[in-house]
Amino acid sequence: MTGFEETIKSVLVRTVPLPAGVGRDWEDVLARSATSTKTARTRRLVYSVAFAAVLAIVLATTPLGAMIARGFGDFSGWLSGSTGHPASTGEQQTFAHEYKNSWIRFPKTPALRSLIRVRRDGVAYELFGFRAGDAFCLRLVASSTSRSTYTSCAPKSDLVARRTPVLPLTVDAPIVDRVKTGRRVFFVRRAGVTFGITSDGVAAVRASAQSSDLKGAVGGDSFLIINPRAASGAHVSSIKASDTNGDEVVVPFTRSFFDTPVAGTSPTLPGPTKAERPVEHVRIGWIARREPRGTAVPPGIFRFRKSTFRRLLAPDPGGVARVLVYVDRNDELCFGLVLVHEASAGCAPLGSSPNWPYPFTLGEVSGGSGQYASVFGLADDVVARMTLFLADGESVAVPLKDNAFVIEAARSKYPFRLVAYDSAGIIVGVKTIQDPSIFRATARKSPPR
Amino acid sequence: MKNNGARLEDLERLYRERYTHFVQVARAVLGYETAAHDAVQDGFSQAIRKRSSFRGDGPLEAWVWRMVLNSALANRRRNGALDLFEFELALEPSSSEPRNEDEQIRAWIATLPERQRLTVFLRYYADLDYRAIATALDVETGTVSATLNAAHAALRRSISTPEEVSP
Repeated sequence: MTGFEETIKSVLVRTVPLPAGVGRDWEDVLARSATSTKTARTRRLVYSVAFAAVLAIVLATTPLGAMIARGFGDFSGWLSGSTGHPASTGEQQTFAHEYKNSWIRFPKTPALRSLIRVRRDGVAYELFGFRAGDAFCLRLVASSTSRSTYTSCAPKSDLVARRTPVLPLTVDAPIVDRVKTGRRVFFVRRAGVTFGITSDGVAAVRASAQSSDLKGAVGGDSFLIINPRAASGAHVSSIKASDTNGDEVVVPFTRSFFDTPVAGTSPTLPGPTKAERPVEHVRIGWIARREPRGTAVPPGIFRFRKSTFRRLLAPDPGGVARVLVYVDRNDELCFGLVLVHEASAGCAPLGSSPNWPYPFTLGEVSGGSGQYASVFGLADDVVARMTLFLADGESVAVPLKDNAFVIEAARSKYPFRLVAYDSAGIIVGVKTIQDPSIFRATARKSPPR
Repeated sequence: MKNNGARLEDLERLYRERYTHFVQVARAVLGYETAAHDAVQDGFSQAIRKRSSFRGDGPLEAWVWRMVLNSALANRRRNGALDLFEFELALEPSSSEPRNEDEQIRAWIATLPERQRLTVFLRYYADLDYRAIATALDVETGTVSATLNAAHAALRRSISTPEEVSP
């Protein structure tokens, strides 16, 4: 553990010290386990009923939702770049300064457009939109005693596919106030913010948080919902959009934490389930030969220890994500993801491990309030193409170049299934991916069949 | 090596040896020690009930961590969120001279997404390695390392320190 990590650990331990352990009671554990066993059968029945109800709702709403969606128009405002108004010079300059320091070097800073401005409970909120490569992004700035910013993007393909009139990009992101009492400083959650992209015909967007009905601001082909009760634990549980006729559609999304049934998610994941000719290693010739593929890694992008080789790869040149690959001082192959303003990477056991059952490495970055997940990694030389199957029945080709792959997908479409094919179209690897940011609580369990 | 279930005596040994660490993490999630103790008791009782389903794909401890965290998170959901934002207020001051660095790191933790926060807790409170954390949270090992690196990067942006972070 490095000194930096020791610092984190010591602060954590000062915050929550190791307890004395006087409450240790194994007999109580045994008694609880006996009680739980008696109630398990009843609980299974409840799950069965609940599952049947959810399935019925999906079957009833999905075709209706598709029909209604046609009345909501499309995302032409976003696709044509005409939505909203130019941002103020000050905000554009602030944005340009941040963008200049980003890891991904685009030819020029995207133009920021102001979409919604509201003030609530002493906090000023402004929602901006911009396009970066093939991604459509929203940036929220909330100003009170402190300034909070959130940036989230959706891939162009999701706007073009137009499966729903609203694409939530962030749900219940915390807005925090800095409160000083005497010598102590507290960070107190003031509200939660939910925002996203709307199609041209959306007139209203509403959300529910426990018993509260939250009316969103709609403008510039986007929406913004402020949830003041998030501070007391009331999180957004449903989002609905309506058009000018009052026709309403339920919008799928993933809650910021814990699990919840997601409308529109099929319980059966499409796509192949088994590899026809399993390849159980990750070997990449050009890295072994130290060929300088991709681009050099810009300085400051990541704090390498000792690496003998490092490259930055762009499986999808139009996207905002890059895959970082490097060989560390132990000659292990490491990989990571580089987004606009942050980089993360790690060295996982790869082809050298006898228990590695796939022809690809895999990492995921998602979670919190963001509604999109990045799935990325490195594929073995034998892999010629990859496909991601989503729970809503959709399948998308995964950008793959120089053995690196990365794709963005909506978390409401979890679980995913990643399938790798060789050049003859034979399946060489299959991996089902659950949402890693959702801790699967007991209620998530599949009902008995 | 694959197992066919966990043995009751192994669970009891784990409970007796690591009870305090389980309570420490559960308290970080829940805020109060009484609630944390309750989550640990419930988590272990679930582990006993489901011990035949343990396949030995990862360490037994990591498998039990999953049960305990499930229990803690379910408790928090049932009783209304008391996360680290409010949690700070519930703490007794650990020192009459709080350090600025402490405040920054606490604030950083408070703003982490749920999964990153749990990853940090398991890493620094429970001293689990990446593989065990991956098992406990049911994610890939690469995701754990990427998550911790992202968390460290976020912290580095809020405080400046010249030291290195191991990948």
